[in-house]
Amino acid sequence: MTETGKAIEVRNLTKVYPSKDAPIVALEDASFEVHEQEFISLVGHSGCGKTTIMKIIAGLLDKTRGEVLVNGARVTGPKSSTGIVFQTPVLFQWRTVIDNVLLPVEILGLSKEEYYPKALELLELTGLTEFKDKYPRELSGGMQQRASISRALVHDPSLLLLDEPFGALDAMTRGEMNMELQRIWSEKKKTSLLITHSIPEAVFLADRVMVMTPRPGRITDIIDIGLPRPRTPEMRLSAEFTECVRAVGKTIGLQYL
Amino acid sequence: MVERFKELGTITFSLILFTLLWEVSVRLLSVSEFLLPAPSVVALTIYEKFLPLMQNCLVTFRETIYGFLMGLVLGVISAIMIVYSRLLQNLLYPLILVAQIVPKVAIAPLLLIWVGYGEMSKVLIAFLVSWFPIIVTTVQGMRMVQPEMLDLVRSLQASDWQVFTKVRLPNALPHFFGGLKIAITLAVIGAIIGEFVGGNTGLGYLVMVANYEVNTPFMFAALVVLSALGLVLYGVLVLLEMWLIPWSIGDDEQEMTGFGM
Repeated sequence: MTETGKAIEVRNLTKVYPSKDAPIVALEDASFEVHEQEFISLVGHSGCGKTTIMKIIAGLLDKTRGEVLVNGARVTGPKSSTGIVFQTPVLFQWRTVIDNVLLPVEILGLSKEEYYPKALELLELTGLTEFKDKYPRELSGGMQQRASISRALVHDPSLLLLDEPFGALDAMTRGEMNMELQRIWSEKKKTSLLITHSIPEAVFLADRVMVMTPRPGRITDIIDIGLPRPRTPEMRLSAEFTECVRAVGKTIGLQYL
Repeated sequence: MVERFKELGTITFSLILFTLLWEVSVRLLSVSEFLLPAPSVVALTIYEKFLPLMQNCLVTFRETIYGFLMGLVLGVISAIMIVYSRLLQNLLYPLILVAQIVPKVAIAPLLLIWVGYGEMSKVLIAFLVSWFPIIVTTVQGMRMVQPEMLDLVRSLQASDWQVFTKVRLPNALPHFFGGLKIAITLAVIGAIIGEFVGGNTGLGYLVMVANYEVNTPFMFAALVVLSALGLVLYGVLVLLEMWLIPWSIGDDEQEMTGFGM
């Protein structure tokens, strides 16, 4: 816990990629804050700089200008207090599910024995207990992504970064995974930043939705989602939900919603 | 597994059918033995000349294995150097490429002049042909890591050593085994080339002798033993692969490409 209660503070963040003709401004003057235990969704068109923001917060990418603080400390490089879930599961095919989940523990040099029960508990939470000794290729896409979520949580990071984690899944699995993620989040209470293309998904999961527009990447709006928790699949049909989706869609510039 | 046995059954069946057809047509058309001996004649020759065949097979086996192991060790070391140093990559790659492009049959006489007519020259040729596929596949395997995998371990502040042992090396294993399978079959051919060019032992030498004597059944016998040797060596690698990296999906078609002398 930080004194300010702010998990992420981003101020005037700018990222310019050098290029032969004209430098590409991926991100211009982005400023926002994420409170501890808050769930934030970041939506916007492809190539508007969503992943750039995430990578800078994760310390995987250098910024051009501005300031980024995670848990009150300036980000200068990767930090083990971050858990990342990518669009693809990125499981190591030569490791069993349980060994994949324990990968962060190994790399961080923590005691495997100590974390083994924790890994089991996470597999229980994601419904993968009976698959713990299987290899990734024996799992379905949804199961693989659940394993990668378990892996992102095993070293107890304070911040969970999700980069379009369900983008590669079919619509039905995606809906289920939304419920699953909400359950995990409400149990673990990790500050979460979800990048997604899907406005309904963004709304369904988030406390607040940040909207980005491309070229240059800018955060144009932050919308509070007042829907009660826990959110249920039925809520997706409610007028309040539709209203939130429409509000987010409008700021992106979608007319048909 | 059941599928595999079925496949094996089909292959065995087609082999038996082929042999039978061969036997029957040779007998019906009364083809001369020195043109094409019947399988039964070849089998009889193998039985009669079993000891010399095995003794020479052992020689070829030894040359192949030594050359292959040299290729394996030096191939892996070169691959690691190429992946981790741009300078070494620029220094080594042209050399490796030239060594690969020069026809081994053409430099075999040269090697014989350098290291003599003994087994060493055959080992060197087997090494030269098996080196290249091992390097290429291992380099490819270590390089073809999903970028997100590197991002993931980097986000956990993994050391270079951890990236090597936990990501690049295991990631390279399926490619590496593909390379080994190509290399072992090439190594057998390499050893035989050496024996053709000069020497007085080995299955290749037997083939030459049989050729001079126009003893076609004996030539066939040597060829059968030679093929069996290659098949067994290849099979051992397949078993090793299944045992060591059970998580990998065998993709034989991909591995079959890249053959060439």
